[in-house]
Amino acid sequence: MKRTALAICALAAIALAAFYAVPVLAEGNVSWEAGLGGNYTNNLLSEASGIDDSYSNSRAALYWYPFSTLRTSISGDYTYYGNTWDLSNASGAVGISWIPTPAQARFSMYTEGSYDTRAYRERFKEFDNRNAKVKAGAGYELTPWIRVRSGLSGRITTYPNADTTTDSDYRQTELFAGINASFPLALSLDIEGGMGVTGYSYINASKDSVLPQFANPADYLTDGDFNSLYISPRLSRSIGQKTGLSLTYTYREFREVDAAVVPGYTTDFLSPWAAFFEGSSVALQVKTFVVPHFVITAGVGYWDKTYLRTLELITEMIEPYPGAPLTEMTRYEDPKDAGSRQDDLSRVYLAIQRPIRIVGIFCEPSLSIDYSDNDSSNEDYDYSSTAVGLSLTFRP
Amino acid sequence: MPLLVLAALLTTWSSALSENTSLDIDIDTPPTAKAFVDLDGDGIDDNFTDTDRDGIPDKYVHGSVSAFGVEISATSGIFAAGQSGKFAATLTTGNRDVFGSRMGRTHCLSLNRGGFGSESDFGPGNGIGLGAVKGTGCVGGVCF
Repeated sequence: MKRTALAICALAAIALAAFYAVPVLAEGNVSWEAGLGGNYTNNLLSEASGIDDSYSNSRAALYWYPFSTLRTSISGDYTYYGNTWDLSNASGAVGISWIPTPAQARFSMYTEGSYDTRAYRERFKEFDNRNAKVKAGAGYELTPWIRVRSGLSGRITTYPNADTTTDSDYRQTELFAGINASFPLALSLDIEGGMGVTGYSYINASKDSVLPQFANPADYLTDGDFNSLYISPRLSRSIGQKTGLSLTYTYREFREVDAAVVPGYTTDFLSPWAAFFEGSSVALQVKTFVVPHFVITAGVGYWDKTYLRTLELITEMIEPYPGAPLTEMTRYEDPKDAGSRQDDLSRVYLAIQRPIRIVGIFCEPSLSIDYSDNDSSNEDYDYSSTAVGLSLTFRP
Repeated sequence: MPLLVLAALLTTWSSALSENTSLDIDIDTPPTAKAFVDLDGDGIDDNFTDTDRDGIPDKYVHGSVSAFGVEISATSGIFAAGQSGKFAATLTTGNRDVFGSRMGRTHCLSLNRGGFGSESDFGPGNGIGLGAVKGTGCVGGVCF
């Protein structure tokens, strides 16, 4: 009797699964995307050493739309480096997005949650990281010419294999609001501003001004927050019907970071703190369809960046005792002497895409060229770099 | 009993989340774009349609609002069948296309440009580990 009941339950479960799975897996409810790319750069790490390398990457993503309001995704990518092969890394991600509002509604809402993880080879495994992100936003069309929006996002980043001298995990909460206005002559003005709170671990330079010889900086870390504010106006307009132009200015400021020093590989290209800078940027971008069947985009941008203060490892030759041969010794600089790296970065790029549809599959070859020039207060980061990339994107 | 509870939950959940993918569109008076709209900041009017979803607008005319661009493309034959200049049609599409049309309207809700790492939004790619796929922005209500 019990067995019969179990069998009935199993059959019912299969029927129930089929009932829900078959319609939602029908064509139009599932999508995918894949990409292959080959790149060359003459400055892989964006630093004065100028290591050149070629690398290739591949990516695949699968999307499932169980409802018209919901998208789930699973994706992965792999990047392989020719010379610096142990920098090769793989990433996996899952995500879910929910848009409950119809496209034609004046009120729109967006929510998203995702989790991703990236893993490097042994030599760089301390940069393995995991990110959990959530985001929610709402917008309203006040008139056909004016739209307002606001949103909130949260993020937790962890470095599970970080070395013992540092703690680079951080968590962020950001709040933003914006207004988008349309003007005659195909002109659009978009102004966005926001604020964020970042929780991280740092050394308080006003308190721990001198670290003892052989001290582990991690022992002097304290948990705290810093605030950031930003404002970003953007002007865009079309020139004719096939060309668009946009000019974006962004200013970002950190609060309460003067006494904070972050330890570890802070100024390295892979640094957890590489994206943590205040300053301003201006970018001019053009997108055009004037060449039939091609999408051409180009841009020029300038950034002035001031990074967080960094605790550097100093290598020096010392005489252990009078008359002894000089010996190489390393020590951490005193936190009070830690400085902020300041960069002036200029970039220009050109990208050409040619969408083609072959036997029902959309295929897009693209070519991109990117040139950067960076002047830094730290001469190790005075560099220029050129990168060329070829890629193929496929999707149904 | 657990199965019944599960079924009830799934039914409730699906009812709450799903929206009929059939859209009623008055062909005689399609929604008219009144203004140049650029939510993704590429300088191209988001109202243009992109029926084949290749990233290149195929109609440089106002009147075919992006919100309906994908739905129209999904059943473009319906226009050929119409003998009269005045009729209302119901378009049935997949969840993917309807979601895509919604995505276009929420573009600036899904991205905020003041966040950390926002520099990566500039150019064809920035740094190590970026995937081979680079989005081209939104056209016709569809973000790539």
